[in-house]
Amino acid sequence: MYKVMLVEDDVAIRNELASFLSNNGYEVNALETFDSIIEDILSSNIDILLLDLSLPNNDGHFIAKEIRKVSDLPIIVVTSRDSKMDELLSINTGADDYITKPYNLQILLARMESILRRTNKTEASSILKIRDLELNLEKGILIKENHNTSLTKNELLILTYLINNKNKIVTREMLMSHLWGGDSFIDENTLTVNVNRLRLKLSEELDVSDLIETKRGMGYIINEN
Amino acid sequence: MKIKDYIKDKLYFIIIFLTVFIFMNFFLIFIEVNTSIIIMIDLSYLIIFTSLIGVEFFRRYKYYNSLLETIQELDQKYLIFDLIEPKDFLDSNILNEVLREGNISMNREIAKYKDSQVEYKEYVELWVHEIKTPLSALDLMIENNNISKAKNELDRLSYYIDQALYYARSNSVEKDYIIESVNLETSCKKVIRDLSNNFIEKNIKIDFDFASDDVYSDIKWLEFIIKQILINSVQYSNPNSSVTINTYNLENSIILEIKDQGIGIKESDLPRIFEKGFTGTSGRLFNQATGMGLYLVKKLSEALYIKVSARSDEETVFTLQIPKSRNHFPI
Repeated sequence: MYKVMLVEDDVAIRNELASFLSNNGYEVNALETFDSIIEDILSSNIDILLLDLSLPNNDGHFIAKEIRKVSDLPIIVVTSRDSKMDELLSINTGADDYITKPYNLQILLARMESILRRTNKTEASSILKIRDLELNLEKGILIKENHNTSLTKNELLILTYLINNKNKIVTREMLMSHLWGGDSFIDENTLTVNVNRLRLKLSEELDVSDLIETKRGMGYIINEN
Repeated sequence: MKIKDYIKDKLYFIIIFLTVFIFMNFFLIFIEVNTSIIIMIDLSYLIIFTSLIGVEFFRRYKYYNSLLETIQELDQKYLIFDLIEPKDFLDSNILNEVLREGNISMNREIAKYKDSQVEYKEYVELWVHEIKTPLSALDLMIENNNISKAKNELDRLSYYIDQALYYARSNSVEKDYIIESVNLETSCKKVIRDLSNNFIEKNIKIDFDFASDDVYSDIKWLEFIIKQILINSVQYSNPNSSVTINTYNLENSIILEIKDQGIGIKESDLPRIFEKGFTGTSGRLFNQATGMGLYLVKKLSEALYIKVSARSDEETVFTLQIPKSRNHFPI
């Protein structure tokens, strides 16, 4: 589980973002005092930092720059300032990404995932496990014991999302949003085709037929057992 | 200035002169002055008169005609104040003085409005920036509690806030954009992602083909323009239909085409769709139309040297012709 630190002075956003991120599988550490931000960040053992630009007593750019001097910690700047200047400053001071408010949450998650995958080259981080299956996100292959099958981009996105939300019903709309967030702009029919093809691959090549269940009128679900 | 007009203007002077001339001659003849003396007096009198009328005419003729010519040639007629020069006769000096003072006072007045507009724009920018914080908080609450109905309303709210921001920006006297190389595919995809809820809700398919060079534009403004057009396309599309984006390379520009198979725009409405506040027959079917979206599209496009047009038959097509080099833009 990745640890993320939130540096955000608006209480409502901080709390909601914290619960959104923990719902999506992150361990969240939200700063509540802003007197020693840099020390707090550096002393905590986190994988990624979400940094607001306008903070009391401090400027986000300055913080990013100070951290970059001593650490390679991935930094995503989240801000309501949408000027070109701020974006340039952020990237120049060492932020890995820049997202403006109000942000599309699927995109925030996607960016966080891609940065984390890039910076943590360990095998474990790019492998998702469900039952006796292993999904390798880097290579886009699904492995069961000695057999494996390669997945298309859409199939990979669908399966990742279902596994990350295992034991919960995922509506078709949620899946579509997730796919659109990953630049796969598909319609309902294509989603059905993709899910069916994914099931076919699972049953024909890996002999797994009951992984993705359909909940009629609601959506899909993957149960852990 | 024509001679005829000048003579008409000086008619009173000529009449007085002639009356005095005739009266004087009668008088001189009556008191039996020698004929040669009369002729001498008459000649001097005539010379004085013609030179007075003539010299005054030519001085003014030169002055006013060059003034009229200059103002004809000027695009910004108000610049005439800086171009007129006083000549060596009294009324030109008075005219110059009066115009100069008037001009100074007008410039002060304009500066006052410019300042207040800049201030207003800065306030709107600040306001939009501030309101994004509670908006993001709401967005997160909606996501965490899965209230998708509220999400749509929030999207509409953001849409109107964006419109206000770009309206303020488009009215700005100062150049407010940064021209740089923009990749159309990246920008369009970003806009499509932002609008994913609109597309998914009506199950509208999006097809695109980006086989084009980069364009020169302001990335934020351009994305706003594309967003407005796409929002319209989706809004007026029938559920389960599709929207298509195509690009074509021209020598100096790229054509970006956004097509939908929606309810279309009436032929009679077409010439007016970019007018401020125009909602048209189709717009009024959906009571959300404010008539601001396409007006802003036109206005921002003009500033970025983008030619925007629309046609509507079986399909409704919006076309943006976007410059491919910096050459179009003044330095």
